[in-house]
Amino acid sequence: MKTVALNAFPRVAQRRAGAKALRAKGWVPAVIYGRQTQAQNLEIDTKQMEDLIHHSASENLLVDLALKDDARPSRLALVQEIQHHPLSGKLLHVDFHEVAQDEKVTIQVPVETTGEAAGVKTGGGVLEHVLFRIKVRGLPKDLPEFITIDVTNLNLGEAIHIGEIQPPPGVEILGDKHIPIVAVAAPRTEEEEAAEAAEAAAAAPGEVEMIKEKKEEGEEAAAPAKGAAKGAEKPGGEKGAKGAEKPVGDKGAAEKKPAEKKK
Amino acid sequence: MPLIPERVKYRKMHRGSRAGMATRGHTVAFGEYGLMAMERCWLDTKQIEAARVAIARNMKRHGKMWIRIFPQKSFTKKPLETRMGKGKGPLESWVAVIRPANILFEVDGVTEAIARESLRLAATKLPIRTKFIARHGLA
Repeated sequence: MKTVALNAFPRVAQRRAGAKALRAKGWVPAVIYGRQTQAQNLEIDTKQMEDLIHHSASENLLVDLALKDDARPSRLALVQEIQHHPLSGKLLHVDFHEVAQDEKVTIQVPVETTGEAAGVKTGGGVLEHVLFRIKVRGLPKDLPEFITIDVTNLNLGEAIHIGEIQPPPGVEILGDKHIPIVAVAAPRTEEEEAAEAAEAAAAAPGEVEMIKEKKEEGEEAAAPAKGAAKGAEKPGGEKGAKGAEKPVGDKGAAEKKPAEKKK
Repeated sequence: MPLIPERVKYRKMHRGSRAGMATRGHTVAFGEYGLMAMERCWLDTKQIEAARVAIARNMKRHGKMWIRIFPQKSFTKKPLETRMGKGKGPLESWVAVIRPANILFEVDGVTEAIARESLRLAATKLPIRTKFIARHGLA
């Protein structure tokens, strides 16, 4: 991964109001942290950062941070996270992870495909991306911006797995070797679509099953079954015999006789 | 797949809040292109189904489509010419609560032109403004 230069300044403005004021002036709040150094709040120029992102293949950037009033002339850092506004996509915050040149780091790299899969071209299949990013480990200078996979020879029903990728020199690909990255799935048939449409049309709003109702029904069914089980447990016992002879509702019926109406 | 829940604990719900922006489901997660909501609304089963059909017809069984929203919420309506009171009305439909930045549909396996047209047709079936977005921010 190529190193790009970026200027940064120590940041005093903090919290929500401070960050908002900073963004209004054309700056982005940022932070730098690492294993060897303490975390420090920074501010960087929005336009400079946006230009860096637009000119790179992914948001994985290795930057040479020139921090103002710092003891060291520059710091090597990986862009760990970039927060965007969900609607406008504007930059909100950047995390820099300070790294050493001789220390291996793990990052997630995007996967890109080249060529048109044979299964898509001739079989009418669909190229499915199962994994969009894969974990790689290596020295900062060896890390790739993205990993390219050639899918030209991929037929219908075939897939390329993590274990089949040739990593760039000095880089190790992490993760289960059997996990597919891209696959060519069979096209959908007319029957499948028709069945799906029929199911959707058959659904009416009142036909939802209630969890509560089902539970009550289950309890009612369980109650007589319990009573029967108790009786069955002590067939020879006096109590069980008495219980069996006596009708359950007799006593209750005698006690709860409705009062006679007054004339 | 019918767009209503299979089982629910309570049939009638409170209206809830639609305030704020989507904090989940606001990135393209499965496909290459997506349709993002720019406004807030309740999308009911029929609207989602209409949009799905529009996409499926335009893509002509090529590519793949994902519906990223599901109508989990029920809403009720009192019958016409009914006096107020006497309890909550009967169930009318099921809706998905949509907040700005929610991704509604995603497509993959088709060219950008087809994806754009399919999602434009889907957007015409919806009551809100939407935006076509791409995974790599190219659109």
